[in-house]
Amino acid sequence: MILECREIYKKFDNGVIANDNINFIVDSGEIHALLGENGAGKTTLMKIIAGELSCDSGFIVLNEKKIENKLDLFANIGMIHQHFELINEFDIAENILLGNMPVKKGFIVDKIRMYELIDRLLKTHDIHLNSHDKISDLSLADRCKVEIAKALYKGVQILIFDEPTASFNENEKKELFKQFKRLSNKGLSIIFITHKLEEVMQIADKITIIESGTNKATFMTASKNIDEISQLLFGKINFDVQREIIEEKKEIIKIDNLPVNSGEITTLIGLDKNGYGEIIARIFEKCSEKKLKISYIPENRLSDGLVKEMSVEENLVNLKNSSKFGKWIFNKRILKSYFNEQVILYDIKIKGSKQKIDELSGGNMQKVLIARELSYVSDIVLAVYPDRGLDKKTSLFIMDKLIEKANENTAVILITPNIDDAINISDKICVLLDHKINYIIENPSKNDIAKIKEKMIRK
Amino acid sequence: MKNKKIIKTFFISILVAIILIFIFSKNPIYSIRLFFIAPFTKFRYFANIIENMIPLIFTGVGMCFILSCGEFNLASEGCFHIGGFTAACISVLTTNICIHNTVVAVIVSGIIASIIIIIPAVIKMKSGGSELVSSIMLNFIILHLTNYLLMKYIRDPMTGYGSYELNLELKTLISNTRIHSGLIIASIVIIFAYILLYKTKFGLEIRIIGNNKKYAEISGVNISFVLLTSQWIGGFLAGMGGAIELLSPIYIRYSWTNLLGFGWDAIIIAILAKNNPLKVPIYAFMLAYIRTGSYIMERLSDVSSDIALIFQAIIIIVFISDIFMKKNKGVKSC
Repeated sequence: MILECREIYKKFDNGVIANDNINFIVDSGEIHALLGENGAGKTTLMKIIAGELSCDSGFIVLNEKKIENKLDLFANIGMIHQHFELINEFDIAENILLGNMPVKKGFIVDKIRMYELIDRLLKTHDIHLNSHDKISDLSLADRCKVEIAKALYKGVQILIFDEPTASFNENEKKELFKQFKRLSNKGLSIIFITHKLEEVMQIADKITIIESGTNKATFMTASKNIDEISQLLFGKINFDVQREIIEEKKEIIKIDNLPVNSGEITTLIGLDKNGYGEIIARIFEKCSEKKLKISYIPENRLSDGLVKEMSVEENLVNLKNSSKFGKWIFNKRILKSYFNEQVILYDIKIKGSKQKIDELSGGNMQKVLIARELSYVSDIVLAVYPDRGLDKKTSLFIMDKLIEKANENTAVILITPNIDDAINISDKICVLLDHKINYIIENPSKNDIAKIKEKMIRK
Repeated sequence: MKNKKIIKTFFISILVAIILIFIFSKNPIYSIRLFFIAPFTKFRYFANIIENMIPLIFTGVGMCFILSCGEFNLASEGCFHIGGFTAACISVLTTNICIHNTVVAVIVSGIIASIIIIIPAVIKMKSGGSELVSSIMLNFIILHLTNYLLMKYIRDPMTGYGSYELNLELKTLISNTRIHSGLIIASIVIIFAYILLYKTKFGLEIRIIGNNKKYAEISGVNISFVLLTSQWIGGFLAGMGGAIELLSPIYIRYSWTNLLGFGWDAIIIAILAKNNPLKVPIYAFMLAYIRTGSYIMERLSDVSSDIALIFQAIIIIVFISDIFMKKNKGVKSC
């Protein structure tokens, strides 16, 4: 046992109890997965362990010594965030040694020693990287490895990852997991937060489930199968809303040679960076040509879909149909009743209409965005990765809403990297490769997975 | 920015001002009393605060519109100046003294000022040139242009740098003071601006553009129209403020050969008020109080009124640095 947390309690200034007497144990050399819904308190617990936050009560034991000073945690535990803190213009060695470079004659950077040092570090920890490579040339998995090396240079014993694979593709994931295994074989402990059960089954030795601030269960991965775990996590895993067959379908637009019909869910699927940005631009162009109304759920909710300086209420106002709140001046009563309706309909957990949007958890933020876009009666709904970084329950909820929209005879276009989701809800799947539609399949079933995967990869 | 922060900033600024007075004054306690307490000791002094506050409300509310849409167009100083100059010209040239002509003078001044403020906005839109630089340059162009026009056309040879006597004048509200009907117009402007900025679709569009241009673009907002209109309103209000200030009972002749600083102060006010017009009068009152205190101190003691400028500069430094710190912070995850 290398790390032990006892009855960690943390209450934030805004009254949210993020951790409510959590107990958590990590052994040396183990890969420990932390599962839980959005806002369950996983990230807070990890930040406390990494010494970035301090807890209100409870204590942490590291190497059989009770920790009094946060700096001890900071020196022994490295936390790697979802957004990497690297300088793109610098090379790997410079990034690792930033602020700590070996010098000669007092102030000149000793390049030769710098690269020697880093090469030795990478070699001892079995990290396959070239210390001269620039960060901007690296894949996401390699960048993550640079972050790992940065932490290892500090001499940490435990590494914490906050949803490391959220934006990785399959190959990058595999590569990172191989690295995890190599590190744990060398005796390093790894804790990682994730939403993806498949990943957990692949590499974790032990799993802890956190639910609303307390630890619900801890068990060895081998002792349970995936269904039992998801049962423990969510209770339910099925769609609530049934697809209805729409009789009067009509073609709304055509993307390349793919007709998009009303009352259907059309899914575009492909490995990351395969040109869905261009496809989105083309869809927008076609829509403005034909004067079609479009609801757009962007991939990056904070930068493209919401205004984080504004309140929840203001973010819920859709500019495209704001006339329903009054011709010139917004009517307070109509706005209020619309707000209450949306909050109930989309199960948004907030403290009040004036709360700032960036105080919400990711899932609630996404619900606000989706409520705004779907409350607008449009011809096309375009949703790009609508469940990115969200837990299974919220993700199912969002998919339910998209199905409802299709049942109302709207054309729904979904762009997602998740094949299982796509097969479950869509009428049509088309596989993207090199900015083009490579393959179209109608009414897909589980048997088509292999075929779809094959078409996603360039030969 | 919390209220605590504002109080802390003021505490620091007051402390620095006191230290400076101690260094420069032979009788520091007396000077400090004049600076901070004297404005409240006599009704006449208190009225001075209100007089100083009126132009600050106009430029401050105008600045709320400009900063709300995310542009740092600082031409409102120049707009204020040219607004005053235009009103002076009209006032000198008219012989028929009636309320209509006063209203016309104020509106024409506003329109001319709003044309001026559009220049940096258009330069930014067409060529990407920084509106910050071009607007500051523009202020000085306006200053020298109006000085030239003053000398050439409306200077009264009997005076040094003054124009002929102004014919139009706003009514005084309270006798024995120079508090004028501009205060009523200012109140209307505040309410109008608040409703426009916070209760209408147009206001929502302005604020969305200011905070997240990409989202505004995706939602189909006509960005250039909204940007130009909101800056246009800002310039119009500043110009109107200049005209109203000049037509107030404070001035008998037009003699603005230097920038008066009401436009610069508007930036502090708008930032402190977080672009909310309803909060503008509070901070306008505060800055007017500092101005008035420093004038009294300059008149009656050996310390110059420049202390007030240092005071304001410290407020700006602390707040601007706070805003930049916020911008550089990443997105929090829960």
